[in-house]
Amino acid sequence: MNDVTQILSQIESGYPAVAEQLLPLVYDELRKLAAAKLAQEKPGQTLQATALVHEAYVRLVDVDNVDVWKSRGHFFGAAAEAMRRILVDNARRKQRPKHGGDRSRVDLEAALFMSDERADQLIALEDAWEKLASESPEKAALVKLRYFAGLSHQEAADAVGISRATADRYWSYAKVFLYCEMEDGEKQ
Amino acid sequence: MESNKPSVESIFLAAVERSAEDRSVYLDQVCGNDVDLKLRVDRLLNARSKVGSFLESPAPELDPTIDQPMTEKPGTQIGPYKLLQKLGEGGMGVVYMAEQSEPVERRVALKVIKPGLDTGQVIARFEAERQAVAMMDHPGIAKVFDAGATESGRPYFVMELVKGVST
Repeated sequence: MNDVTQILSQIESGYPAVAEQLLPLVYDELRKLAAAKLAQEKPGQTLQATALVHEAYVRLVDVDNVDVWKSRGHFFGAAAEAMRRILVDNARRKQRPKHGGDRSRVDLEAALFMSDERADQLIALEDAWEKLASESPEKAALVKLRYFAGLSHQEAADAVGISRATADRYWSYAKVFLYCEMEDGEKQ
Repeated sequence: MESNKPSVESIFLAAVERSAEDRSVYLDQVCGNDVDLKLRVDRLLNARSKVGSFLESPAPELDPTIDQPMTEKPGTQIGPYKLLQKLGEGGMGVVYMAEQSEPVERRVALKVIKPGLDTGQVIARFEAERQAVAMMDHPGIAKVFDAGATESGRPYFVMELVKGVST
């Protein structure tokens, strides 16, 4: 049994404390996957953040050894957080002055293209998201699962452990909340 | 905030469920004299029409630096222009033959700036090129008719269709 599967099955058996061990593992896997893809694939290929997350799930979670239904939420929770960190770190790096790095180096920092606008938008979203997270962690988790892990409305609701109807209400509020916060951020 | 008042969120969610008429009655009633509360709820309600597809598609940012695919291709409609066939490709952009539908029907050359280039730099170069070409009115040089941005946010410009147009 691999580490991720083991942690998931421990969480299931009532040791929620191990959940935090998931994040670094998933984070590592996502970075490795992205780097490997960038090295292998033909130029012109785009890497979908959410496709990577799903691929990591298939690779890391041994569905024969865990309760798939319960473990999905934990896994995607960690994966969405990992992806958010990777993207936001990338955007922040983009905003810092350049140091003449070697662009042919195939690692995540060098190989990912992010336009200035995209980086700015992502940072703005991140700032707004932090506010939402302090106001309502469940809504923030929902946004994270949908946006960074690409889960559907229903999957995200299941992962957070709320009903679909509640998730829909949360989503409609979270969207306008984030939108307005980002608008305010722009004016400053 | 006073604890006996419903939150901005709950007022917003309750207001969303109501018809436009009921909504203003409800808001007046629930917000009372609290102008600030009403403003905050109004702001969120107004934003609903603006959010559109905001956050609806997942984060797409993981693009390799080089040669990202152009989403524009023959058949793509950009404003009144329909891309027909690729005429050529250069360092900065791809030129298509396109069909303009209005205000006049004609064939034009449409150049879409390549993705993957630093956006600010591209727009600056693009603007300079556009001005330079617009200043020249010479039978040998293609006139610039129009410019704008495609749906994916890429600058494009539309030129007179002449043989041997530069990319």
